[in-house]
Amino acid sequence: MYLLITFLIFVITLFLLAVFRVSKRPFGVSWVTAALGSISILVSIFLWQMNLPYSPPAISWNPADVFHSPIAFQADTYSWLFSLSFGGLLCAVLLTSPIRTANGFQPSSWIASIGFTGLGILTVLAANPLTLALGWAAMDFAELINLFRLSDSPSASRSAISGFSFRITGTFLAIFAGVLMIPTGQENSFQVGSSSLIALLFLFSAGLRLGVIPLHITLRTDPGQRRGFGTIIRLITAASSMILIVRIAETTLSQSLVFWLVPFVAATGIFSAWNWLTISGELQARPFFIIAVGALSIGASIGGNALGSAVWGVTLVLYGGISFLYSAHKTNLSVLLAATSILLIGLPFTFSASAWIGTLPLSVLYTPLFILTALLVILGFVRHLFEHGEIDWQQLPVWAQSVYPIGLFLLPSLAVVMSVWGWEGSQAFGNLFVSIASLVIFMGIGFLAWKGRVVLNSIINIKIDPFSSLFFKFTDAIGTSFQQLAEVLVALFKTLSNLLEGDGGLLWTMVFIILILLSVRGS
Amino acid sequence: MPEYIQWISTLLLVITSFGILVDLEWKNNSALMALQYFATFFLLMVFWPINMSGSFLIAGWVSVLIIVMTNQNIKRTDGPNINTFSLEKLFRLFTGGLVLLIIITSYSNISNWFPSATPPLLISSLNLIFVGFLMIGMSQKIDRVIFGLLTIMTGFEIAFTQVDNSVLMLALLCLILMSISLVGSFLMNNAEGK
Amino acid sequence: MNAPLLWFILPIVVAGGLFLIQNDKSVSILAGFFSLILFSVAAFLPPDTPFTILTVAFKFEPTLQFFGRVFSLTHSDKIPLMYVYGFGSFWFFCTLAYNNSRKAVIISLAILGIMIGAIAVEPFLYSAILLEIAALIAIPFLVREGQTFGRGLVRFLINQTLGLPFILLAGFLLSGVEAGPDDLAIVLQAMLMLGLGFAFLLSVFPFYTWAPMLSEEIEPYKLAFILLTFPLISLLIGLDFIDKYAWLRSSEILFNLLQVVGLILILSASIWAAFQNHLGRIFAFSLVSSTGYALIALSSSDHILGLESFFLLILPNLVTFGLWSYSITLLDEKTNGLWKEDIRGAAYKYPYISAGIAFSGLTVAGIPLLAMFPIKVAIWGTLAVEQTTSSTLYGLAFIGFFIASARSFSAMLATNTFTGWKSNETQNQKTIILLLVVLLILLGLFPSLFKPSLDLIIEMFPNLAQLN
Repeated sequence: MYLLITFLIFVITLFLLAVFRVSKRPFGVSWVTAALGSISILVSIFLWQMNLPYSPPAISWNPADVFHSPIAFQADTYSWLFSLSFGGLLCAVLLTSPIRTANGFQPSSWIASIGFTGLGILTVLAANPLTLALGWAAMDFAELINLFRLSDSPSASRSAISGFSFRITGTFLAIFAGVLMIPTGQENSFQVGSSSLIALLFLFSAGLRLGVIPLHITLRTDPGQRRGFGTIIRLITAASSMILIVRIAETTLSQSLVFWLVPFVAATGIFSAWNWLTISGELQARPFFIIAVGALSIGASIGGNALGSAVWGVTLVLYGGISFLYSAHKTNLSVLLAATSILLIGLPFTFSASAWIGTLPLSVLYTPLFILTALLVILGFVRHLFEHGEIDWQQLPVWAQSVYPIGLFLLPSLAVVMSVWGWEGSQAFGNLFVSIASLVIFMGIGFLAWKGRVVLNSIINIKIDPFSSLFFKFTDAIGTSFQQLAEVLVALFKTLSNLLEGDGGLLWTMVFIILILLSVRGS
Repeated sequence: MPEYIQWISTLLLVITSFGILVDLEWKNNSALMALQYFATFFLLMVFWPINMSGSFLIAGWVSVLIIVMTNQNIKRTDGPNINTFSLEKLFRLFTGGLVLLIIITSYSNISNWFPSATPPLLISSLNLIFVGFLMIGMSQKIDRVIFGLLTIMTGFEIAFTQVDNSVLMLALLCLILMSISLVGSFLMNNAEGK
Repeated sequence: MNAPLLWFILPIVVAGGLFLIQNDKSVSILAGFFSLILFSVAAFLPPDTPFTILTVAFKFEPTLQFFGRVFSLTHSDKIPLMYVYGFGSFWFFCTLAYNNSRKAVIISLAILGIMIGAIAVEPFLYSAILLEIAALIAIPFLVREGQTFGRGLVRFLINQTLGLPFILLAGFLLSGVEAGPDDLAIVLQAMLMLGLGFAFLLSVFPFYTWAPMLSEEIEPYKLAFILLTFPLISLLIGLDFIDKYAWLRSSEILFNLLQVVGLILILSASIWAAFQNHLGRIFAFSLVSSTGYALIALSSSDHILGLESFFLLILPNLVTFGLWSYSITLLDEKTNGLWKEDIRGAAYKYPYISAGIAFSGLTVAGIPLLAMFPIKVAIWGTLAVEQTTSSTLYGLAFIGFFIASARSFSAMLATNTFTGWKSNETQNQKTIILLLVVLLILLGLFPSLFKPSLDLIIEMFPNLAQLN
């Protein structure tokens, strides 16, 4: 019921905005409508909590014996957490949009933001791999079209195709996993059971979509320099991939798989978090932020902590939202926003406390690595808050100066709300060791920032080009090898084509037939 | 039909089909093709009445005539050295011989498929089918492909005689023979570098 | 009125009449409307079904005698009639956008009539002859107006012709099998001949080489016509065979063979497509793969499920390749070639056409939300239940077609002289492409849209359906 209300508000808001756009109403009317609509959406999502878990009737494709899975949705704690954060991000984007008027007001971008958020919510509500794949594909197409719209060079367009290809490959792996679930009768859920192959396919699927694999290509092809709609697209796409990681968290992966997977994930996390901290400009560093938080989410999932995995997904949206929407900087505002990062260090009774209740294999070795990743992510978040803003605060109209902070603070407020009313047992004590360790380090850095600004400034002013690092040289070499392999294959298939299509092609065809017949006879 | 005539026809078919396979000159090929239909006529008479066999002969000759007339109309000239002996011709002859050898050696197996067929009938049929395949497999020149297709169809027609004696089927197959020639003629008129 | 006369003979006569009209557009419009009428009549007044018009009771008589042979179109033939003339109508209207399409329209209308004749004729041996006649008269239509032909056309002629004798021989052997179905040797011989005959007719691997060759020589829309009609009708005739002969439909080997042949076909086509540098060749490989998917669908041990999947594939196929052929033909006319070098930067000049090509390519690759996704995944699921290895191989084909699609779109985006996006298509072209893309998405979300009823399918192949 509440689910229906939410989507009804989506539809009504989109309809009204479309009407206003066609009838060329003043932008103010559109903005107020969009803002009110998004707030109503947020409130309505909040109300889902009263009726969880809830599964609306599935939409079956006929005939049912041919189509194995229906289009099905489920609202539960995880999807609610993600949906609420998406709703919050949408509100924040719309409330902060009046300050991003360099190109004039853009109602079309508001319509796109609302529509895309709706798609994102539908995706995280998916109850089976088929529905998830449909949602992902819809988002990928929307993103691709948007990127083409914005592309100003052939290389940008081709990068868009490249990114799209990797995400679609991820989607394909999820479909493959879904197909392999059919014989087990679990295709209408994410119950992987004991199959490591299916779990691995799901993990790779999420990894490809998040950009963890192949890292160098994802980072090179990230096009987004835009804050509003760009932030919605990047964060919601990534978070909707994380829902899969959350869903499979309860699967027991084989030990050998975990043995290889955890170090890789931990290394990716630290590498990306370090780059997120050291690259200047939050938009330039955005892909690293997404990958670092993605690695934390995967880490929690491998440790069997679905809630922790979801918490990192929500962190991605809420704190990523703050970071990427914060374009008009003001010192007081930066300090206050930086203070909200305390919610992320896993203190008891905060929403991130649940992020560390997992059982990673070789916990002594790997947990510190993940803690380090988390701290680097938080530090990066703080660092980017104190960089120079794009927009001069003084130039903003008074009403924008009041609406803008509301939009930004809405996001950490949601984190507080989630820690109070997020899920059963949400006010968790968490992992005491992690809390203390994080707090000590965090306080230490806070002290440095207060007393020894030089140290902090030196971190902030580090300028490195991650693309010249050894890692990228190595991954580029692998990429080049694949390209060369592709060229060899093209040449090979050209030769084969020439053989079959040339003068003696028909005789070769006969040879093929005889070989096939012989093999059929043999078997 | 006395068996010795069948054997003579078979010999004639082997010679004509090998001739077409090896000789690249269109005039010779056309003559050999016409001769091939003539030899087929006697083999068809093993199971069919003379009027049906005769119809097939006429259809075959009309097909050849269409190709001949087209070649004359487009004033086609064959490439240089077409009549000289070459390694390619030797290779063609060798593959043709190989095919014939395989047919003869595996005759006892294949004859089970068509128990009522006489040995010359079956050998002729298989020879035409396989040599026809070699013709279309070794060249993409349109007249050779058409001759190859006509040869294959003739080979199959000889095999069909023992299982089918429907007039309508014969009429349709004759129609198809002539249509293949007509299509060949159309293509020759549109061929690259005619 | 006689049904075979209306759907088989009349189109051939009308095609003959259209030769008198010289104007390209008029011929396209007339053929389009004529097909639309035949489609509508098949949909609402199917053969052998009594109906009343203004108190006059009426029925299309199902049979037509010709030299002792029977052409029979019954109520169960409603589906092929609708597919053939529905597709024909769509295709003829699309030719309005192309240059020099008059001859192609006229001949293809006649071909459609002959195709229906091939479905209607009894005994089935004559179907092969009619298909051969259709192939022969297709040759003049395939040659590009004012240009010489290439090797692809010769290869097409060879493949279509070679199918005929094998089918005929199989037919004669089949009569022997009916007399003594226990004779395993004859059964195997008949199956071998039948298999080879249909391998040529359906253009399975490696007999499809003519398709990519032809794609370099002729307009893509002609290739689409050939590859959408010939294999479909051949499949329907083949299914009729299987339905008729008890020993054939109860043969497990046959259905396993269908699966293997289908898998080899889609895998080889997808791998080849992935490494092509010519848009037309990618299009051709994608087209031939549709037969492979149909074969895999039909190979299911649950025959009703197999038949349903097969029929669910047809419409998405027609729409996808309809859009693809429309877009690629327009691009071919505008860029004078479909090689990678010819289409550089085409996406910026012709964004709608490029979108049409991209969407149809992605549909063939089975991307979610697009028309072929639901049914291809459904077939995949059925395969996974029956054969895990086959299902993995089946999955690989998706990747091949996706790579092909991404590479071709990437080629259209590559340019050294970027001047921004500017549409150079006409309003009509944009509208048709957009409508077809919307239809692709609709079919992707609602795959059962326009699905033939199960009753009709069972009526078409009653024996096969009974086997469950």
